[in-house]
Amino acid sequence: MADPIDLTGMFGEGWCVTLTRGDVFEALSGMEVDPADCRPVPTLADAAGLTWPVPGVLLVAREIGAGLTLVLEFDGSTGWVGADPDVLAVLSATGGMACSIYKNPNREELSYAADADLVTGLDPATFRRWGSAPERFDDTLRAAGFPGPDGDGGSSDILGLPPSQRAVAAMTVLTGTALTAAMFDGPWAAGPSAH
Amino acid sequence: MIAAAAAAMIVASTLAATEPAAAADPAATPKEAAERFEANVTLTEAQYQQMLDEGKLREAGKTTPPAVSKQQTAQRSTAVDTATPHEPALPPATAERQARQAAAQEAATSTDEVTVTAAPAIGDTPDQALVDQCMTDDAEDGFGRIMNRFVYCKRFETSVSFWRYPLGIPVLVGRNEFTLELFAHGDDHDRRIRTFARVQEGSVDYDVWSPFERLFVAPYVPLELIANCVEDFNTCAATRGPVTLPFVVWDNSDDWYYWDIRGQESAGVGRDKISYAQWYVQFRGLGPGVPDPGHSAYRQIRCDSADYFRLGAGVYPMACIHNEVTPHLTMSRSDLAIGEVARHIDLAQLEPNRTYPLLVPLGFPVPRDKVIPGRYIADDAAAPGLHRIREAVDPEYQANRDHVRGACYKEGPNAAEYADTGLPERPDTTVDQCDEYPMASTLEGAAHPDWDFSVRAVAKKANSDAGNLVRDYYVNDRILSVDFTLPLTDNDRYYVNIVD
Repeated sequence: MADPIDLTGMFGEGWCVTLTRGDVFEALSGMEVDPADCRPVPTLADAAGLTWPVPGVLLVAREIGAGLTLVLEFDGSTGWVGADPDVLAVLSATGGMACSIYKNPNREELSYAADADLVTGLDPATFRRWGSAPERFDDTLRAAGFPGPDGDGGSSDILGLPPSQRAVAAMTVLTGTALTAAMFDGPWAAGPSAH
Repeated sequence: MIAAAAAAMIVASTLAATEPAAAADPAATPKEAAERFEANVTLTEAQYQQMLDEGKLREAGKTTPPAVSKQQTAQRSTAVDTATPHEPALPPATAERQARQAAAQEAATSTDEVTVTAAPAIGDTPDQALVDQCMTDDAEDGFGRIMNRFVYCKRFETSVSFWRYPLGIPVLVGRNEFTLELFAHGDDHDRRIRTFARVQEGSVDYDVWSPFERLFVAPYVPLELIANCVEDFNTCAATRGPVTLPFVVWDNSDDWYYWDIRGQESAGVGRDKISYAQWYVQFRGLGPGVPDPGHSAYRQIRCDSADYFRLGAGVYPMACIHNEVTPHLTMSRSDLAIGEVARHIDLAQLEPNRTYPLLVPLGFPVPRDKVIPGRYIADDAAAPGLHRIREAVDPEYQANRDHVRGACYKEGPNAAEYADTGLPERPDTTVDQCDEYPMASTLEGAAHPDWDFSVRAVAKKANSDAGNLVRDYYVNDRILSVDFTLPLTDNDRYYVNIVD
């Protein structure tokens, strides 16, 4: 696996990235953004300058191919929308998939949902797992160099990464999609989430 | 005879008041010194007569007031630079120590009110909302008021006194009293503080002058303002020229004028090129006579070039802040979003013995009290603070997380250590997370060999929201992360203040 991108280096110590199947409007609707409020913006800096007459935290989204949409949020003042199990349940309903990773100065976390169920949560600092089937991806993660849920083992490639980059690596393993810097270039659809 | 008697009375009453060119007591603290730095002008008899003659022309309508240019030169002339006295730069350790002492002394008025949103961009005039928020009665304290690390203000009464020396005896001719307002805004994109100053509109009084002088002389004396660095160009650079206007113009205008005080990166130390400098606003009366300027008290700034301050698409590669305030994150016990976390921290700070992990298993004699740092104590410069670390560069972060996992879940590399002292019941990870204090992003976190810590199960959302608050705080209060190439005592630190 190539070195996972450094989202903390790019955006600081507060971000949430959600990958989900579906188009931009399906994704944003599932995250409580009214499609009528969505606006196209070329860059993240442009999105930050937008205002809406309705309250809400800013989400930006774009399709990245293979039927997947990437949603990005930096606000977090009402909680990370993409990390909410109820939101992940909506996004992953009826055979779907949704995976989110987030970072704040004190924590990183991955959540993976399928068929409206939080299958696996993962703490990339301690490798602790939870969810309805926390062991489901143990073999896949181990093959990618992750330690087991007790923290034993693991490759130097993974252990040598800071936890936020391990989160990106874990998202790659669970979704089959590696985040690249180009995915964050834009353009984006932006809108306020009422969540 | 009457005039002579009047003059004698003025001499008698003023000798006991302000002596001309009162020298600053070098042992005085800046707070004390500020109150005594009023300006003076010494007039020869010929110069005094010149002022009277000019006044008579004004009385007769024979002079047209010169067009007053309110323009301020963007460039500071070499002459101004050369004439400005400088003092040696303080060693960083001394500067930091003095700042913390000042912060503890001024804690009642300088409150570090950090907002959740970043401060507005700096323009050619100060943000009125910030001025209104800052310029309270507390700003009239001798120190002024640091509202937060990016915003400082001060309002103080001062004067320019005019003296003549007939027969060698000091005679106070007149005194122009006025209120000076200062507003200094730190930049979160550049190594500068933009310092604004003005005379408060309507504040000028002409005292002691004769009735004729009060109408035709005193208001037309020019007053010059300029902001200066205490240190020389190797440490600090001040931009833009002075502003010189007659008192009558200052008194009838609410215009602000500004100067940029820059902390030189070349003077910085450590990874983040931290430098310290001091600034003040100088004022003096011009026109005939020899001016002896007055100035505001020195205020310290800290500048850095830390490259890790980002908030989404926003990048903040350099900044200067007002360093004489104790940085602290305030959390409310009753806050609907994070109150649960605040209550945990409150318990950890005030009653650490009631927190997990225990020092020894239940049933064993407790050898000592738990000691958990980071509590904000306003007037205690020596209170143990928290030092920020980052997961990307500091292995202490991973160690903190490992210890917390052991104390909460009795898992991981530190499981055995907390087998009998950790939480008796694991957090239910469907709804809860393990909260810890001091936080994982602090050097004093769970893995610290000398400090104790506390863990508790809290609602996931509360824990996540509190983490996001810490993210905003680190950026908005410019909390530098620890640099181990510098003494820990010289590193930035912060506290957590729990309120109702």
